[in-house]
Amino acid sequence: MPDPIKMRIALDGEVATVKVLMPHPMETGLRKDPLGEAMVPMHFIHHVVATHNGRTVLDAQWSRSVSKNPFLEFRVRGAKSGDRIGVTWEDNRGETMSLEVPIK
Amino acid sequence: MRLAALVLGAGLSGMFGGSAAAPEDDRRAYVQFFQARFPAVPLDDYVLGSFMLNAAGRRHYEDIMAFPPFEPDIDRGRALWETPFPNGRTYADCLPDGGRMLAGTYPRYDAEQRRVVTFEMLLNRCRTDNGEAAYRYDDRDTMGVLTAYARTLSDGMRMAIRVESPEAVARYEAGRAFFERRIGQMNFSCANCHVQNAGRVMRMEVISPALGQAPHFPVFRGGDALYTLHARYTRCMEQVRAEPLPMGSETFNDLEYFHSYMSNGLPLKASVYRR
Amino acid sequence: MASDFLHLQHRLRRRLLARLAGLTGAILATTTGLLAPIVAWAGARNVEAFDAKAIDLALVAAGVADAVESEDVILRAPDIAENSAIVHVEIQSKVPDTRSILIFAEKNPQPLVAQFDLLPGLEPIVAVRIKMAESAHLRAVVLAGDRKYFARRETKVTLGGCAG
Repeated sequence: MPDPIKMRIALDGEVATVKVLMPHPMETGLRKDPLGEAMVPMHFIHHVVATHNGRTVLDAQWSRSVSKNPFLEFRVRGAKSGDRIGVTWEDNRGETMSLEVPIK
Repeated sequence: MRLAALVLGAGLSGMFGGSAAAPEDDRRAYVQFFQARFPAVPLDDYVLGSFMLNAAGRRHYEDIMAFPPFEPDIDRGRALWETPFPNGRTYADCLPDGGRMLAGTYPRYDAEQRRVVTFEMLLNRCRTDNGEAAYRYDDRDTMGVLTAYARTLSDGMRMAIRVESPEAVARYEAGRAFFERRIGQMNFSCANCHVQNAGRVMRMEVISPALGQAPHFPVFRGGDALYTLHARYTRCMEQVRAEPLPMGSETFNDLEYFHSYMSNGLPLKASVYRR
Repeated sequence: MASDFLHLQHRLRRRLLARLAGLTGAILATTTGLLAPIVAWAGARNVEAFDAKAIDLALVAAGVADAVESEDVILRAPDIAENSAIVHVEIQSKVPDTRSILIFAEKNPQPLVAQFDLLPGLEPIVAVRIKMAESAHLRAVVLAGDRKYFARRETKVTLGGCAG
């Protein structure tokens, strides 16, 4: 299982700038295994959802062209200290991971 | 020509070999040389490598450093750093001030061991003193991530390498000799690329100046490939088609001693993104 | 209460997505996050657009071939990417009621890289890091109701080398 999601939130007035790092190999399926002839199987996050206090604010579909250990930044309006920001990803194998943290 | 000044500097330090003034004369000559070539660049910006010459590249660097994709690797290094040895002691217990603001004083010449000691050797010394096997200097998953974390504890400190005794100067001079030696099928020295051709474009890339290189290692090339300074040295040797020396070898230690001294006074900024 | 709300959210999402041009065979999946409470997986993937192997086909499949170039779409990306594996891209829309932001790397084997559907409460700005197969134009497309706008800029990618 990949490492946990990391999230940093900066609140400026009522706008929360959310920066997210999602450790994931993001294999394109086009790369040869360095130790052999076989191709490394395609393995990538294809769907990301972000929530504010449980309500979906961002729904993203990704291809395998998003970089390894994907970074995502978005800004939530009407945010205040104590609000919860959540991020969930799902990859092409059906694995998912979530993190929800309060705004400080 | 400025390079003549450098060559002259080399001659002078040969004449005054054994005096600690020689390394300082060299350092001033390098600073003067690079400042003449890049008059607009503040000295502290040299730790940015070639990004110092390219505002757009620097912005991209800063975008990536705002949340670097290699943070999980640094977290792994931190976990190694914080996990006590079986005897309960930790790396922080081995080192003055818990290892903070320390890396910028390494490498050092150790009179007892009669050799240059790098920061990574210091970490291994802590391991062996506590009954643990030393890590290999070319193992990215152990020493690589450990030093990638440990060096960040010195971020912001000014490089302060000391070359004092005649024996220390001899190791420094050995490092400089290697820096200037042409090697490999391409017949390039370190200085050919990173002094003479610094700032010029090769294969669509701007060659970084030697000044400011040592304080920012390890680097994560392409966002996730960890290169310690010695790993970068071996890569440079491969690029000029020379037979690479082993990481942790005495020649590399001497080279690092010279290479780090040059950057004295610059702010250490470890474990950064490079292309 | 919460489930009612999520159900409503779900329906809203489906309606929003149905309005997006080029949608084919929307598949709805629901799953439970590991740590967060419940997330509605409302996103319908436009498989045809993501699978398209050339920019023209991808634009048609995504329903944005008729988008017009606009200064209200701000695409920030390096002129020269340090490394093709990691190109930091930021897209900001000044178009009112921006609902979706799409990013294409025109010469990638499958040019559509990402589609961001923005729901109420989100500022119309996102940043993401992408891989580029080669030097190419990046294209950001913004959907706002029936209106479609784009911005385009070239990013050159270089090989690794002596810049350490």
